[in-house]
Amino acid sequence: MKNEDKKSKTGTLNRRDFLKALSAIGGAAVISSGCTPEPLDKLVSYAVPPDDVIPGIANYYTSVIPCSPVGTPVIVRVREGRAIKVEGNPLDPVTSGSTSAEDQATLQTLYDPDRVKQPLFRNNRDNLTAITYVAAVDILVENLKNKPKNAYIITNNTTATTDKLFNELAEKIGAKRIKYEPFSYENIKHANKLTYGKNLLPTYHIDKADYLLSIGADFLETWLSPSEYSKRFTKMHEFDGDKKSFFCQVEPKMTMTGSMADEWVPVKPFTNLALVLGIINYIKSNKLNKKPIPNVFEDLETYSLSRTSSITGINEESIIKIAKSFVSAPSAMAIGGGYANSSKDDYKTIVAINLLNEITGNSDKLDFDNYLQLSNCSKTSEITDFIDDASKGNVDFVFIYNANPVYSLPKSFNVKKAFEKIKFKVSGSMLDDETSELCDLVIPDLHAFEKWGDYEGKVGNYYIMQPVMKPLYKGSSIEQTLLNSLNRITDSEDEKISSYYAYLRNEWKKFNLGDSPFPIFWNKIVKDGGIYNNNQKYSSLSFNGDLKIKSSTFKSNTDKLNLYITPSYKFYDGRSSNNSWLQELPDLLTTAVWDSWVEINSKLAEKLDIKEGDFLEIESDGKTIVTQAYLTPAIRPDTISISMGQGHTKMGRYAQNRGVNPIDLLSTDLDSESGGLDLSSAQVTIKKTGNWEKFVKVQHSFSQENRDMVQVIPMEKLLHDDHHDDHHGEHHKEYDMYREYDYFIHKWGMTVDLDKCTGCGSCVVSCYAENNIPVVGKEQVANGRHMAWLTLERFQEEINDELNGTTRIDMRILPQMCQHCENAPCEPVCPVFATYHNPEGINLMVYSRCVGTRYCSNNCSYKVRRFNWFSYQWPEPLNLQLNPDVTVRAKGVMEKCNFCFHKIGIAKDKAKDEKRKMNYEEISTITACQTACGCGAIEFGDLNDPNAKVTKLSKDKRAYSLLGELNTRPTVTYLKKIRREQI
Amino acid sequence: MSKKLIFITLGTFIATLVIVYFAFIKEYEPHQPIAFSHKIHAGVNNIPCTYCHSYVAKSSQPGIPSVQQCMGCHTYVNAKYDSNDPKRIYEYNGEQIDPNNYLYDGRKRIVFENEIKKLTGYWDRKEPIVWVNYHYVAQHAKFPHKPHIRYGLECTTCHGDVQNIDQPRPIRKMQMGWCISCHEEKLDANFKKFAKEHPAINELSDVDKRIMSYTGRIPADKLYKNYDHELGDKHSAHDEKLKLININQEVAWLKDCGTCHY
Repeated sequence: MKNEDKKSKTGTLNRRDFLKALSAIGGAAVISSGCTPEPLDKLVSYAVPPDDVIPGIANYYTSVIPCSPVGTPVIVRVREGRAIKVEGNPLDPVTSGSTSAEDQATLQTLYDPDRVKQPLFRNNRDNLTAITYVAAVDILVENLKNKPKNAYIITNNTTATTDKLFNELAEKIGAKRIKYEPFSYENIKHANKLTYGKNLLPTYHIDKADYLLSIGADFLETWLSPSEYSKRFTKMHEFDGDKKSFFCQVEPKMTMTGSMADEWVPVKPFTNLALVLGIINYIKSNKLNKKPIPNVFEDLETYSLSRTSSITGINEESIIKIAKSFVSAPSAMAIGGGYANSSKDDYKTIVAINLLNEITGNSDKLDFDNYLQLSNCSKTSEITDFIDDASKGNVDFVFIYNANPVYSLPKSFNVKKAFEKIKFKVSGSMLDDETSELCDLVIPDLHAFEKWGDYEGKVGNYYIMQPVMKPLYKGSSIEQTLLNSLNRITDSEDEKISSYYAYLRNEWKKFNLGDSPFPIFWNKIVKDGGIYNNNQKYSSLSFNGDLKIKSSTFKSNTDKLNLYITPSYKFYDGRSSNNSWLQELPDLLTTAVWDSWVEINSKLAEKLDIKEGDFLEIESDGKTIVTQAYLTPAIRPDTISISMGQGHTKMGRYAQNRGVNPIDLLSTDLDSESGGLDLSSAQVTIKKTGNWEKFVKVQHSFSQENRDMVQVIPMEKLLHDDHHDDHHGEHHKEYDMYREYDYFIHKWGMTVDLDKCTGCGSCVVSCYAENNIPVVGKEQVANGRHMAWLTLERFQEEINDELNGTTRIDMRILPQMCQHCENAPCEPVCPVFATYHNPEGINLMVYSRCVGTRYCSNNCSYKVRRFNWFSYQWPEPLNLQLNPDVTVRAKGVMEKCNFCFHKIGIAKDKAKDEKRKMNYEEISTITACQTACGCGAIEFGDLNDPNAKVTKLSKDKRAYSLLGELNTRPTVTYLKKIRREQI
Repeated sequence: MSKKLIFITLGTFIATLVIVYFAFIKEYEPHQPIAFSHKIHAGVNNIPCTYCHSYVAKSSQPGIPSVQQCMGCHTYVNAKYDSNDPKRIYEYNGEQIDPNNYLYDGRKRIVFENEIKKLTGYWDRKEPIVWVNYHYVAQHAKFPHKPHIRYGLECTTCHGDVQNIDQPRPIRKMQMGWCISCHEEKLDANFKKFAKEHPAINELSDVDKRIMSYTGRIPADKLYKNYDHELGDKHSAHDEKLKLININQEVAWLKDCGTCHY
């Protein structure tokens, strides 16, 4: 008691009471924090509103992506002044509205966090430092005014007005002009020059063929114009009720294109000439030719079946089969690949292919009137001449734009050293790549979506490059920079056009052939996206029969391995590598992400005791690279293959220090006739380094485990037999305890035609863009936390090819998204009803309700649900791409495909406004995957509408449900792949 | 525990509440950069809401007027009045409004001219005005204005009597229960209308009726005994089913989670 009195007198608290008081404060804080309103948002008004922007409503503008070798005209969706999605322009006759994965991912190039934000200048050989645009142009003009001796202007495949400006500048300062593309198909051009007198890259009308023989042409990935050929291939290869064309692919390593083939023939790399000559010789000796055979190859007779077989490694019977099928088909066509036929003198292969088409009367499918502008690119020999010149110290000035020879030419050329000897180097690239890094002045270009311009992909098809948004960073387009400098170095008294937009319009006046005044014409073409050449007629060809060629000698068998380098369908030659969507898009054949690998035949690997994930040292002539091994039966045992695109030392956070660049292994060999790089120059040895790391890939097993997920129906059965005898994928009604559901208004559903899907990955990237799907990085993919809503599952079955004594694989691709099951296993297990079935048949996720138990994912039969293990970040300015219509999911939330639910709402809203029903055009552009699919494999629509395409397809003979025997009743229906064994 | 301790504890408790109230909660009273009065614009001058919030019927967002739009009127309307001129004072709903001495929002006295000067300042600098948003729906719910306007809702239903308030506060907490109550009313009205046209509905069990009024849909076989799923489209009940759809197509959405949360 005394103690307590004393305490109260002094007013001190003992520890216990102090804590009591403290808890009162805590309680009060907790109570009041519950009442505190959410932090207030800001509402920012426009000072001056843009004319055509209504907040909350998307605008669509036409433009063109000049990145891929032929350019893709696109329609860009813009929300509040930010480009958020790319869709193909259906008016274009070349691509007919299809886009590749690379095109879809161009938005990440636009918002690339590693873009050069302002001009850089290297003063006194120091580091590059930022300067203003005006100062940069001053420096450029000063250097141009000095009339540099021996100047070069090197660009990528620039066309139309951009090209004209570069040529003007080159003329003004007396510079040599080089248009450098790593794949400029010199061999094809040279062969066409010899056979038809046309040094051009033609259009191949493969859609008219009944039998397509592709000698290494990866036309679904990178060859010439992949978007176009995907369309043409689908047209050719699709089943139209009674007929389907046959496709045979000859290549040493299975590519994506090869995986689509009805017949896949592994050939020894760079022996294609022998194969084609063997076929011609067989046709000649059996008199199967339809037209006389000109005596082009003097030593044709030496290519007997046995010799051909021993050179190419293909069984005689296979060669006979190809030759016979080729001749017997009503309309056949042979095409030859670029890099597959790029050893020394390999232009002869293309000559032989042209000859094969000619003698069988099939050269009518070659169209030289609609050639590619890519034909006008320089030969690789021209750029190597420049490098020779530079390394001697003779070059004073170089302007380099969108070309990266330091990366894309073999190290043996010593491009870096040669570059350092050039006195003044200017770069116009947007990205700080290996070549820009060496330059003295960098004036970054704007992205195609930020500037005016034009592009000519195929001759006669002029696309308008329209700015769809304001530039992210202050600066001007390369064309404006060129025009500014040209105006300043020209002394003439004439009136100069100072804005490139005015210059461009002036140039385009020549296209206005009608009566309408130019402004009206201009508005029309900007709306359409350009001028299209819809003329599909072309002149017939005359074969140069006087041509005399001696076939080349083939490398004798050594104990070394052949190196087969393939361009990547994601990164092309490596220009799109700093792109997180593409880095995270699993490679179709290996499902690997974020890295390089070397493909090795499994049997060879067994012999050498190599396991998947072993680091191998690959050595050729003293040059080595080290990368992880990937084992596959779909490659010849005498060959290893590495894909291009990785191994950047500079470029940005996503590209650099990742993987290897196989080009580095090559020597400086060129093909003297065509001037192309010799890709066969590396004979390699492999050695285990002893290091092992888990090979990061998305899918760990390619086996279907007898579940028959990707079903195949033989052609014969499809034609003659209506009876289904397989039980996989069928709903067992007798065991179903759930009642039928009624969908009063719509029942949304999807069909996926497995026979049409080529696995190009365009839908996957499109889904990333539309739905704000986060990129998780290599480590998280290794942990199985890949977030893609739509994945291309890939299964394989090994088939022993007794004819050739090799093993080949039957590749089956399954685009898999949420199946929107009617009896969804995920729904009843959710404790908080966060996932449920909506009245229109969509299995929806209510993110704000989800508490992250992940029961749904455990119970999902298809494993399509993705969990947000972290709050993923979009480094600025990549966040500007986020679609405002779609919630950005936070940590602890489950997510999955919702059939682009937000777009259904937008389409419905529009129809309601106009008091009508949704039409087919609207419905067919709802889902991002369907809009992106160039092959028409995906169809989305209302299953309640008996006339809808999707309803008809879902009742097709080939239709089946994925794991239908589980009675989940998916709304997504798959159409079986059609197998053709014989022509 | 001694009395003193209870006092101290209670005292701290209340003091904390008061401090938190003044430090954080009071902040809820938004301090806008310009003392903009909805009462003067929408009430006194009778400007329609959509004149300034012009996208409300076109887009999910109503749109806030740009500075340019404000200047469309305020280039001419500058509220310059001589303080001694008695004519400047006018009456609105029995209230004397003095442009030179106006009690704004019951908390501060403003001079109209000064506020308009602030606006012209923004315009001269071509600077956007950063307003404070206090009229919001939680971010995990998607509230589009457009369909509500299309349905015919008045702005005042949710935003209160804007014409008579300088700075309108949300009349109710904009939370889900409040949204749903309105949707439920509409569902109920639809159900009653529907029941008149389909007497078969009265023969339904109470549970089914409740399910129907709640979700706005019912399996056709429950409503029509002769409806046969196996026969599907060919059956005579199909027409009736279509009728059902036409009446009900708005309804199914009214209480569907995915309507607002996706």
